Amino acid sequence: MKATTHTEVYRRFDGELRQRPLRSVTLAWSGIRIGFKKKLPMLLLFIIPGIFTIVTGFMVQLKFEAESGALTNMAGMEPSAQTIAMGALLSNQLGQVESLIFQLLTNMQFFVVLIMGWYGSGLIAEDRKLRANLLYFARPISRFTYITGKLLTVMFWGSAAVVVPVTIVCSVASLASPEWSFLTERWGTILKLELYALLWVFFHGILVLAISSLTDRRNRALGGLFILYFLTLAGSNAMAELMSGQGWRLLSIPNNFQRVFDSLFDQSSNGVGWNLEASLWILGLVTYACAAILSRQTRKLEVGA
Amino acid sequence: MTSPAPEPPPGHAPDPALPAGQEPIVRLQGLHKSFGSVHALRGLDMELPPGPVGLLGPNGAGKTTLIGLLLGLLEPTKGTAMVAGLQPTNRAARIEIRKRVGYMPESDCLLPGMTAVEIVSALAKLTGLNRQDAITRAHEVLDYVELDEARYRALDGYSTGMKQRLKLAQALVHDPEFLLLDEPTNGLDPAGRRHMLSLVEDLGRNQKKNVLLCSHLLPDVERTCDNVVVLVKGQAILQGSIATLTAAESQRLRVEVEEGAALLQTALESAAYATTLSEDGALMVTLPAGVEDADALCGLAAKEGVHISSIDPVRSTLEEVFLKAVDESEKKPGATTA
Repeated sequence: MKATTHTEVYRRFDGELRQRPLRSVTLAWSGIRIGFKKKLPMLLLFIIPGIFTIVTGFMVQLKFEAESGALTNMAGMEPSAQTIAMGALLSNQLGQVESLIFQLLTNMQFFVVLIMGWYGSGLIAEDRKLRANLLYFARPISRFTYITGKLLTVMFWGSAAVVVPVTIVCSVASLASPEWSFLTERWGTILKLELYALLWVFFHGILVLAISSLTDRRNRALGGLFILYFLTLAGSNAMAELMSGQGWRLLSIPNNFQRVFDSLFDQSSNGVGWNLEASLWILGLVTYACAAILSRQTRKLEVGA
Repeated sequence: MTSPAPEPPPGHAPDPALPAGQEPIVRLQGLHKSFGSVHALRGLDMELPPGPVGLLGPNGAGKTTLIGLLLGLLEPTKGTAMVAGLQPTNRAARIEIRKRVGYMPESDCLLPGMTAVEIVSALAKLTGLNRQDAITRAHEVLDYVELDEARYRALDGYSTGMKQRLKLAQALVHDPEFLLLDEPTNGLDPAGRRHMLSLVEDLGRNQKKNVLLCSHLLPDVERTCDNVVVLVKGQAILQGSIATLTAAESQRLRVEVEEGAALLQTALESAAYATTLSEDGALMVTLPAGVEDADALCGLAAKEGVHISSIDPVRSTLEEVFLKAVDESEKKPGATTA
């Protein structure tokens, strides 16, 4: 049957509607596809992390190759002395490579904030501005699915900037090291590196989304993120210097992450005057506050407010 | 798990527009919704019959709140709302309702940067279709709304009419039994409006979809819907079938004469008939109280020597009915059921 001025036939759908568990992935993939379509920002944002990754990868490769000559020289040594010397050399090599990867991770962290801010600031703010939330919440999805979908989107970009480079460099180190020794000897470090990178991405993802949910302008959300991030960093460092109290540094997110990093990888804490628990408490409280803001704001979006 | 349909309260009169034995698609009983001190809906009682129904009302009448309640996005302060036999009291029921309802929002809610196919298929997957079905179905509904090659273009270059049709397509993608269309002709030029109305008309009349068309454009509702509900200040001041509401009133007649219309008008007015002369020269006559038919009018015309060529009862337009109901509601609050 056709309407008087309409020429296309309406077809019925005979398939089945199922309650699929991975609908947040569908939502995330939509957001990721939009990000991929903006080629120039993607190129500009990822070019420096990309260069860092490639350079670090080469340095790791060279580190192992440069020492291979020393291993050849050990061929004439007594077997027991040879084993001890090789062990010491390998341990030294692995330690140096670890330091290179730690340096890469530290250098990447601020680019990750920039990238996650760029891709994540508009995720909820734009939905609110265009009222796209009405399309989502008229479907059988929950607020949790919506938040998870958005979080996965922003975490994808964050992971592309930090988890992927760390994985690439760790893979290069494993392949270049004699008999996969980096993988077999330092698997704990690799695991901790990945976990730390994921923690960083998750924390900043939820922070970016919480700020995005408070406004209906992407630029405002982006500005808010950087104001919060860098003002607390500069402010807390300045107060710590002025008041000669290291405790002020607890007010800054990057300082708290640095404390976690130092503790996780047995680095010297540069004389910071607070313990790990305090940093974990601060990061936990910020995460809780962000989750509460997201929950409240998405409830408003759900009812079309 | 879905909640069972509650029994109608004592004294509740079913909508006369609903044929015996036919289940209403929406049943509201004493529905009340407040936001703090603001009462958005004030005890709505209505049963919407299957088929196309128009929801009319000025801004702030409570239409959006009603949509939120029907989708299970809001919880009523008091009373019950049932959609397709389901009451959105728990999450499972709300999800079941949203599977059966397609919603086309009024706002420009489409994310730029995506193509029509991407948007519709992604929303189909969110509704529960598998990947293959979602893509096939996206193309089917985009064919239906006649978004041809444009479906592969990013939304940024779409006209308002194309965006409206895309919003209709996303509402249809899971083939819902109940469509909530919020101002579908908003911002459209005459050709776009005609196209959109033909789609809505086809869905309601030919495809037998249950449609709730929210609009403030009365001709749109009159063209596409069989029934209408008028919402003012959170209350349904008028509901029923459009045919009944606009039925010819025996008290009003359109009289066409060959010559001497002015003479007849003077004679009728002196006999307590209210008359107006229309632009085409016909006399619009309202019979005085106690006069049942046109016999006396014919007698007066014969006495004046005026030859009447036709007498027809006058049908009200929906606009007249709407304005009359709004005026009455301002004077005396209370629902009118046709």
